[in-house]
Amino acid sequence: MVPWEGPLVLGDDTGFRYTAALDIASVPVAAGTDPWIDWADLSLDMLGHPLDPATDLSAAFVTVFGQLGQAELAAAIAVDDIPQSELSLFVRLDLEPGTTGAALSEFTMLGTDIDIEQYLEPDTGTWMVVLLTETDDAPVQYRKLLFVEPTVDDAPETVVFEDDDSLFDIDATLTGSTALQVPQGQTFGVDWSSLSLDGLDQALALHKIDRLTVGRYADHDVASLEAAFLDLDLLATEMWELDVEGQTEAELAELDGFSGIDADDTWLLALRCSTCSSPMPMYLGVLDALP
Amino acid sequence: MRFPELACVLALLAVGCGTQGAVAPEGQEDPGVLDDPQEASLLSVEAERSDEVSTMFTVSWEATVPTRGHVEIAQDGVGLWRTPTTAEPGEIVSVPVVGLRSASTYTATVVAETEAGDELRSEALTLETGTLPSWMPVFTAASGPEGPPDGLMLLPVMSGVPGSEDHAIVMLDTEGEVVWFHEDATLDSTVVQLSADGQTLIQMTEGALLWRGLDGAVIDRVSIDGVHHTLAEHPDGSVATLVGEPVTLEGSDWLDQRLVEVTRDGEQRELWRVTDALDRIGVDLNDWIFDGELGHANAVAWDAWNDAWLVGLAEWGTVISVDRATGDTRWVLTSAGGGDLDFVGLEAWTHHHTLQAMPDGFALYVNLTEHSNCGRVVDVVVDEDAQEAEEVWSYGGETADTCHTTFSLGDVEHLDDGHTVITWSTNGLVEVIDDAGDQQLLVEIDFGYALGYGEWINSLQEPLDSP
Repeated sequence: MVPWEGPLVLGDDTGFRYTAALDIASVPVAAGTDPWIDWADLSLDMLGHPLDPATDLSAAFVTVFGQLGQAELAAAIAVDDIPQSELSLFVRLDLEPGTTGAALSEFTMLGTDIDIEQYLEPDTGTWMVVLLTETDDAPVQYRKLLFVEPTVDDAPETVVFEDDDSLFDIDATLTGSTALQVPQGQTFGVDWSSLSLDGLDQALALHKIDRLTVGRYADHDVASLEAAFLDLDLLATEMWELDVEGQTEAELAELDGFSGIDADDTWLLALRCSTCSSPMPMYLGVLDALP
Repeated sequence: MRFPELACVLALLAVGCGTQGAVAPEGQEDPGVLDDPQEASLLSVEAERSDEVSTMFTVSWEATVPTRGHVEIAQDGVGLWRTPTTAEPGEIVSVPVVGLRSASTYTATVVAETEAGDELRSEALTLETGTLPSWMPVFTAASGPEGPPDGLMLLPVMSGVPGSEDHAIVMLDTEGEVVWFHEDATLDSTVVQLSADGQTLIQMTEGALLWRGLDGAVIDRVSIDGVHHTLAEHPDGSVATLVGEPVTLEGSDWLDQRLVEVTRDGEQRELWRVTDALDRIGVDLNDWIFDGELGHANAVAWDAWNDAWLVGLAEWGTVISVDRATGDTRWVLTSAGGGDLDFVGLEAWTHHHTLQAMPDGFALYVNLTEHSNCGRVVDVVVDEDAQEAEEVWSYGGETADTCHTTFSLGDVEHLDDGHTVITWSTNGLVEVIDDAGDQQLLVEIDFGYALGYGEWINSLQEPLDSP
């Protein structure tokens, strides 16, 4: 038997492709007030995953985009292409455990109280409230988004998040036009130095890749994983992870407990960015076992 | 670091230039051909990559005689640029090489010149730069038809992206590629400046100023309680900065703002404080409250033409000239009601950030006016005799094609060659325009990041054909 010669070279034609849309609800709020922002009733995040509003959230942002409408902004968020240049106001509030709401006036700009509520007026831009989870050992997760429309008409002085306020809609094809074929039962090297495009066919910055994961799916074929794309991390039977910051190649022998793939299960290899705002992998491919 | 201690030796060369001294065979007398200890040659050439900045090298050489020199950088056999020539001749010379892109291979050639005018050229050393950290945002650059001037952009980067470093300093080339970086979450890195001698970066951290070498290591640190916002270097190497100090006025507690000069050996001299000029500003303290700060001082610039410091008080829309020798308030231009100068064609403003002194006035980054949130930069001519401040040029604002609402920071720098560099900070943009106002470079940063007060640097690289 001729030994398989690695490494496995990842090209732009070997990875997943997807399209993404994001539906963000918009609620009116009384202009010139200091509205209470309430997320106590949330139970799902925008990926449709369970969310405990009292314990899972660690911070909230309020952003204003001066010249970007709600539809444009939602589309930009969906494809991780938000223009920083359009951001005209940004305030943040760190959340203590148990917090399920806050007044707008509690948000500050880099720790400075700018009386953000005084700017809550019509025609000041697109206002959005963002709820997120951040921990020391995991990528930031933007959990829920909601547009807020300041209005002088009869409008509530509260902003209430609901489960269906913002939901991602992803249409993904996991298999590239060129298969990733690797031998069974042995580890191998992976080289991604030639990647230039992400799953949206947008330019990929190699230095942003800092984690490599391999997932084994015992109960799902590729088609069912495509249908449940947003749950890939939840559906894995086993998941191995490697810190690859600063690298463009790695040996999968470094994955603790990983001894290679088999032909019975479905195997996905992903390259991820833990400092990016998008939850999507930068690269994802299906590993096929050589006969 | 001493030369013999260099750890990464990429070449050890004995590169002759001219003839080596001939040695007479043993037993024969040859008084006319002796070893000349002053024979000019390179004994060794070495390059060491910085531990902290993986795109920065220090190239050093040792010669038999004192030399000055520079390092030529090439890639794939094509010459790119060279370092400036060192100032003082020495037998051991070290040169910082700044301007290399990440994950790239270059060659470096030492070109040393003896005091007699002989040129010593080394063989090429190989320089392999490291990769960028994952937190580094992506910068996208687009050039105008003429392109920007040569140089590097020195920029503080602040992140609103959780999980990444809060503060970092980067240098970009004119194609938006990162060529130098240093991350330090403890820094208050809204400001960074290259020292006039080109050897250190002057930065601010909580309660201190830092002088950082180009290899990333901190060289000097001066503690200053209450230091904040910004700094500006005087040509003599001292640094002016702003320092808060509690004060009680009209029965209320405030934070006075002191203008202090600091030397690298720690000497501090107060020149002026806001309370010195309160009467002339004419502000009603009951109307102006911003976290208790008097005026929210946030800008300092050296005015070489008047031997003075310019100080900006953002919340009062005020610029003040302070005599460096006496600490006297020379003039006050204010949107707060008082002042010494009349506004001529210049709209009062309600928030600003950096200042740059000019021969007859100053340039100012204006964030807000009473009726507009569109940021703009203005040049103001100050006529002290006529007691007038006249706007003579502006860029941006609500009449521009694009309105940039910059809710924090903002920077303007006129270059000697007529270009102007504008940093629309929280918009994540650096724009370079020519003297006709045409855009020649636009650099944009990823979403989630903002840019602080930086500097356009043209003193670390020179064209290969420089004299």
